[in-house]
Amino acid sequence: MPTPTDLVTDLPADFEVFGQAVDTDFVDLLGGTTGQVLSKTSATDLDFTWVTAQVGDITGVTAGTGITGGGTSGTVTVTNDMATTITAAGDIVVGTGNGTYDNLPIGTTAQILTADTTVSPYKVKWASPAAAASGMTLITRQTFSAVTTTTTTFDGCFTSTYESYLVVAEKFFGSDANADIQFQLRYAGPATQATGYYGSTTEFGSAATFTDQSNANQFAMMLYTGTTNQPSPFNFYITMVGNGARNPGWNGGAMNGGINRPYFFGGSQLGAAREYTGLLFLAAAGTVSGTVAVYGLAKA
Amino acid sequence: MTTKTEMIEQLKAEYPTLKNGDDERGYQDLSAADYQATIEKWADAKLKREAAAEQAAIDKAALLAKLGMSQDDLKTLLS
Repeated sequence: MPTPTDLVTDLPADFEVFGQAVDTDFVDLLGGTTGQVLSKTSATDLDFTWVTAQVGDITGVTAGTGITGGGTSGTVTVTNDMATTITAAGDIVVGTGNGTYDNLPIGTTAQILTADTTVSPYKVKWASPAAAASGMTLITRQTFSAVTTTTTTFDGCFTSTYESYLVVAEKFFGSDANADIQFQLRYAGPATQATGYYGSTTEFGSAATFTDQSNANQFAMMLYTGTTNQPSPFNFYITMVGNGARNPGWNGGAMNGGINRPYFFGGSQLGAAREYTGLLFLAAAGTVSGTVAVYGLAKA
Repeated sequence: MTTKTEMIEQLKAEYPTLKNGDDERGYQDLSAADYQATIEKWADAKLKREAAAEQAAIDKAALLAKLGMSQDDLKTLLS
């Protein structure tokens, strides 16, 4: 090819050289089919390839409900808005209307998620569960070993919360197998009511043995205690305690593990009308051991 | 027949110390006065029970004699 200052002496020949150079440089532009576009094959100048454009390329991203972000060009970011609505551990996302929602923070330990249409806008809330419906509530359960009496162990178990109580000795025995198992009522002071117990206890052996108790210093439930390996369980209901000055009454049964005889008993405290708030267990002689539970019976 | 003094000595030998309490709150030994009062109360209860048992046995033997029956006759009758 002649330079701009060359004297052109053979124009046809020069054009032929020029044409051959153009043909060589732009050879990649030859070919292709309808709809194809040029794509760079490498970084070299004029290095192209005809390629077919991909059909259906995304030309825009629009954020719908629950999504934020989007766009029509460049790198597009979309974010799950429900996820970012959660800001702390335990949060839950609650619907607040048609296509709307909000963050409901966690409640406190042991609360449960409860439907409540009066709460706006969530209609649900964290709430403490209602006390399980039960007719009987454990007030206290105590274990004692080789004591002269249980003294203050069962003080305060009778209150105005309940009207009647169930006393259950899961296990009970004494050091002197031939001694009565007894109880006495307790009241504020604290003090022990040591007179005025009336009632009877019946032991069923080969024949029934009836034991009357009149103005006794305590109430005897059994005429013999059990032993370590043959304890004497008993239970009784007691009422008219823990709510004003009254004369309590009780009835129950027992099973002497030592001599294998059942007992039935009933009695009342007629010596003094008081607000009795507890009771103690003892034996006529020797120490007592066992586990006793007191339950309150629901009024409604 | 055991005397009250003898019974008290027996009980003191069997129970050199006495305590009150429970597993949750712990146990406390009785004071000397409470210990003595408890031992005497237990002695009275045991003597009363012994006397009642002896009297019951005497009454039972007297009744059997009055009826002209033996202990074996009584067992047969109640069986």
